[in-house]
Amino acid sequence: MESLMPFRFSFRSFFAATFLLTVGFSFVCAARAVEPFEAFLKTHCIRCHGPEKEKGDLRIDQLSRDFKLGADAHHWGEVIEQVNSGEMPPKKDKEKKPTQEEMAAFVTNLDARLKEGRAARMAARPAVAHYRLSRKEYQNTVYDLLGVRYDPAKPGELNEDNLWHGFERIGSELSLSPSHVDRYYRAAEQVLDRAFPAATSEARKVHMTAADLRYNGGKDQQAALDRFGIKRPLRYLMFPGTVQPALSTNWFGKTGPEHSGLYKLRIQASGTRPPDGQIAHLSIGTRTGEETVDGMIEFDITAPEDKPQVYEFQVFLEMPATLHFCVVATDVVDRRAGAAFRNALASRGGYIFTHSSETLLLNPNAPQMFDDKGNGLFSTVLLDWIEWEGPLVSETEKSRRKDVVPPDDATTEVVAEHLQRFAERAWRRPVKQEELAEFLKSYRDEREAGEKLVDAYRVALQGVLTSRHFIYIVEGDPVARERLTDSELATRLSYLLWSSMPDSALFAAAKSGKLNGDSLKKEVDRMLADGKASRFIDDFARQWLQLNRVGMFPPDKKLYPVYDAWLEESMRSEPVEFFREMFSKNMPIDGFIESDWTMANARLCDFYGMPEPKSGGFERVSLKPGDHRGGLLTMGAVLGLTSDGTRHRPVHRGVWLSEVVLGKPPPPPPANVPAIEPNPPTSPKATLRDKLEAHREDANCAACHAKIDPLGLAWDNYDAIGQWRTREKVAAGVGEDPLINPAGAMPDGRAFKDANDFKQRLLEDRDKLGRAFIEHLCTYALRRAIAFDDQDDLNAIQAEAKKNNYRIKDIVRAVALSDLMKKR
Amino acid sequence: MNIQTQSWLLNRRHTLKALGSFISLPMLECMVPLRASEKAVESPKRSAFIYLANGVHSLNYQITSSGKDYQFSRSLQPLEKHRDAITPISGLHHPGALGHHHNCISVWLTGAKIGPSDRNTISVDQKMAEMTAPHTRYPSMEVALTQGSLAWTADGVQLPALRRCSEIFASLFEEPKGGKMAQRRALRRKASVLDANLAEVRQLEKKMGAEDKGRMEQYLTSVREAEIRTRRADAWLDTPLPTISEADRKRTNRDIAKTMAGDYFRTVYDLMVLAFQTDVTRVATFSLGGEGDAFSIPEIGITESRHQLSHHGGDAGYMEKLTNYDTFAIEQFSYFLTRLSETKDLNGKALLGSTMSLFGSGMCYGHSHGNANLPLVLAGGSDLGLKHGSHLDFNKEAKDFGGYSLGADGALTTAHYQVCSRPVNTDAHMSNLLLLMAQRMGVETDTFGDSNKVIAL
Repeated sequence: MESLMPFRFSFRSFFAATFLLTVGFSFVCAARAVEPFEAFLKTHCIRCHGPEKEKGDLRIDQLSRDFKLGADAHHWGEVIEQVNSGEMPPKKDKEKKPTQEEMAAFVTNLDARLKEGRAARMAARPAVAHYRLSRKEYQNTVYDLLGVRYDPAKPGELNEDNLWHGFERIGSELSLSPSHVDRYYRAAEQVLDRAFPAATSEARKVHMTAADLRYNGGKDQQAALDRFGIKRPLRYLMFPGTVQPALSTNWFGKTGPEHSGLYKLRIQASGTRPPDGQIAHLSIGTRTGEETVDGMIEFDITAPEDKPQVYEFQVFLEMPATLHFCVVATDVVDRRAGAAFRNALASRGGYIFTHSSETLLLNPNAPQMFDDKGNGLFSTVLLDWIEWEGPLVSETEKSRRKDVVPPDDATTEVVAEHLQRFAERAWRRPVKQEELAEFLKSYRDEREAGEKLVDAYRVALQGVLTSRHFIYIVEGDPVARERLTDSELATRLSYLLWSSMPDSALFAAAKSGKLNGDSLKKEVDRMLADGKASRFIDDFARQWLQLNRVGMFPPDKKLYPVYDAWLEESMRSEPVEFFREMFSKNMPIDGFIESDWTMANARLCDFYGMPEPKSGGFERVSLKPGDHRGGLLTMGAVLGLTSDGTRHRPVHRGVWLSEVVLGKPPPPPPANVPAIEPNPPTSPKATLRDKLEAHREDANCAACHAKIDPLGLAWDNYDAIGQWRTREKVAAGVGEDPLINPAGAMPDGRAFKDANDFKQRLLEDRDKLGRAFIEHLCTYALRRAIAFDDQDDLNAIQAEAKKNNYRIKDIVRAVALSDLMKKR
Repeated sequence: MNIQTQSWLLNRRHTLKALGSFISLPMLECMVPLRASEKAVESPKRSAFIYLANGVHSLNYQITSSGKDYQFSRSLQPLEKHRDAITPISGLHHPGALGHHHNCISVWLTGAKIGPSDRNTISVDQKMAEMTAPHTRYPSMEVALTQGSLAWTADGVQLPALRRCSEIFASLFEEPKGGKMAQRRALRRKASVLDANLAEVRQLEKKMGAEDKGRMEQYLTSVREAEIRTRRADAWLDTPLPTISEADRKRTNRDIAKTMAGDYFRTVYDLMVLAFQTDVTRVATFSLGGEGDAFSIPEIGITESRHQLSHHGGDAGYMEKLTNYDTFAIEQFSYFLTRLSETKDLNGKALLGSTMSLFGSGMCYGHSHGNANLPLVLAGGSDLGLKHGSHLDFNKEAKDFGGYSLGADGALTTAHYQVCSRPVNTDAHMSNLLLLMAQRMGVETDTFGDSNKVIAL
């Protein structure tokens, strides 16, 4: 192994997988003389920070080179910072001043060592390792364990997970404070309340017609229709810019928390879309403002006026609940601009609606919502009826909590057995009776104090659900070992592929020692085929692509008037749906970079300027070259998440691409970067690229930026929300908006002329793309940073993946079946 | 019920024996009955921290004259009436936040370094709360109108924030659900569950010896602390909740739409005054909004988010709106100071004297993320020895500083942005100010964060 190292490092380029390589201690000693940064230190630093002089109390020659231990990591960080910012070596030292390239090479080299060290520290496992469940995993686990729906992301519930490069489940990042403990306790209380409610309630159903909702029963309006001989029924015309009740507390009669649960919502509706306008979009949720709701349910209404459609959803409701409809469109019937207009439409008795062709007849004096050809002037929703039914409990859900609570007359032994059975599922491993002694003691204390069995037993269940064995994935024993046990492996697999606990079949396989060879393959294939694998698609795609950043800096409404909440939500879904399609069709990895199709809904097609899709939801649509789309990199989400709401940010785009696609984050920028001042109104308009290039004349910035920037500048034809453009809009300045120049060169010199060309250059590096993807997948699976020790295992996975032409599902399978998965 | 309580106590003793004396110390302390009337002699010391995201429009914010006779800048004008009770401070920065854009909010009160393997450290409010917690019903209050709170634990974990006024009110003053007995029973069940979990993890700890325990250690300390808090809450059940007048309740126990920013800000300030006045807590942090999506303020014609305005790109309209926003936020802070000066403490003196408030941002020049020359105003706390009335300017103490860059019209020029991006005075750490506040609160320490000396005031 050792003899191979210098070979590996001599081939290190900017794109080599430096992020991953961890220098083992023995290697550090052996290779010290060949580390390129040492030569730089010797020439430029040691004279003043060495045995002869000790300026600033710093002796660089004595700093620890054991980057894995990281004892002097902050000093080394300071060294990088000083060189990076041009403070060191001092300027007066003229004859020995290093060149830009030497400084960049030094910083890159030293930074790579530091990163390896950090990764190794993050990957370090104590004998017993604890990896906390993310909120999503907690949610899935309580559902699979007890059939209980609980949303930890609601305000006041579990704390947000700390992200590491987008990943939500990195053990070293997920920490715990006393307030977390309190929240886990409360969460467990809620989960148990829902699993074992004091009073059960039957499902109820309520059906409200347009007449009920809009016309107070509609007797008078119906009389009017009869007078005109109109046969069509009353409809509820909903327009953008208002909110209307979609569920009121009194609709079901007396309603309390005991009625919380899963509800089925059915709506019959159609919509109008103005020529050149947007498809009507309906949001249903809790009211957040005069014109807004938080979108619990979101959908586009593509059904035309004459062919209404029944839309069906399932949603968890905390009762008593009040929900509102909100028609979302950028063009709203605005309160400020047209109060009279709005009031007329919203007045209870006044405005009657049946069909666009009959509005003028029925409402001769009201403001018109349709032109003479029957086209809507606004995006509107025409509602026929709405129906709520619930709470619904499925047999599967019920079966999960069956036999959890012992019968009223159970002996202490029977109670202990019940608790043991429950703990084995909750803790995802065999549990010994004595491990539960403390919880049983709490139970007995409660019993002795006169509590009923059910109530006393709750304390024990509560203990199991707040135990570290439940809220963490625990791997290892006090005596360190390298391999996972079968139940640990089962847990790791199920949290990889299902984001949740193992099911009974997987438990059984682990228990009977069958998680190896062909039966492991069979098990993994079964898991990949299970509907729960959908959770992997949602969770991994979101985390890998750092989609949490979408909309983090909301785009300027003045600069980007077409951007709205529904577009953002649709953008966020596109890469996930794309991943789903790639995964389910088991397509090769190249599709992530370039494809002649994407997954889009009506709103996105509208945004991208493509024909409206047939269904309301996401579907596969084909792309033509003129669409300027294809692969992940030209999606609105990706182009937007790297922008800051006002401008596109080429440097951020370059950094994102390096991290996510190439698996290699660049060195950090120096602190203390001088401010970029806005373009003065009197000078010619300049692109951001021009300004960046001016910035790069600063010797200290140039070398690193020369490597990062081209990766981002290639996408300059896309603005801050991902719209295609050929000129960059500059707010202030003289002359025309400048033309875009997306050309550039890869850090290794291969030239590209635009984004499409750039994609081709990326595809030429297929093995690097595959490697980066595998590394991200393993980080996700192992819940830790990848370190140098993992290289051999990663090579084996890559060989297997390559054999299968880097097909996505095959890669996931290769990771699941790898030796790496079986190691701690 | 009585019987049950006693059985629980008996159970407690058993557990205590099993756990050794480690836990009994803080428990004994927390079991001491704590009544507001017993500590009415001396005014409690209090601190509040208020965060304004994305910096300010520094050309209209910066005060350029120093000392006692300084001239208020346009945005700071609303504080003129509190001149004797405030100290505007210029030229401080957090070295760890330089070049870290919007992450500056996460180290504003901690002074930690930011980096992929750097963990945040304890925030100064929590350092203070460690000391005040045994004396108040709640250790601290965290409010953030959007995004996360300003408070971080010693493990570098961010504390969750409250947002809605009704929620804040309930967290401070609401009667326990189902009455005292039911509450006590629930707390004791909780203590018993936490006890059981502690005992389980301690057994493993014993087996593991001295080697690295990683996350287990954190679980243990967190559960133990949660358990101590449960017991404190239990002890506090015997102390009646403070009475809140009907008028105060009406004003503060309600939800305000985010489109009414002024009302919202003032009501949170009212809640802070109420919390201090009733001594429910002595430490509060209040983020007016996160770096990404602080409110717009339609009532003064600002429909853009604050982040958006801060990236003004030199647009005159945006710069004007940003200045108006700054002034508006400072005006609400001025309201807070007025309320503190009008509200009487336990001993009849004004709350303002016993309450230190720090208002400011972790950024100065938002357009290009300049994290130096932080806009900061320290107010109140004269009973704790703070001497106000001057503009404290650390830029002017730097020997290389050639004075503020003023144009012919006497206004600051865009060259001032450099001062807001690169520290003029590299020794002027904001942690020095946080250290001063910690010491005045009575925290016995010579350092905080990356402090290099304490600010004299």
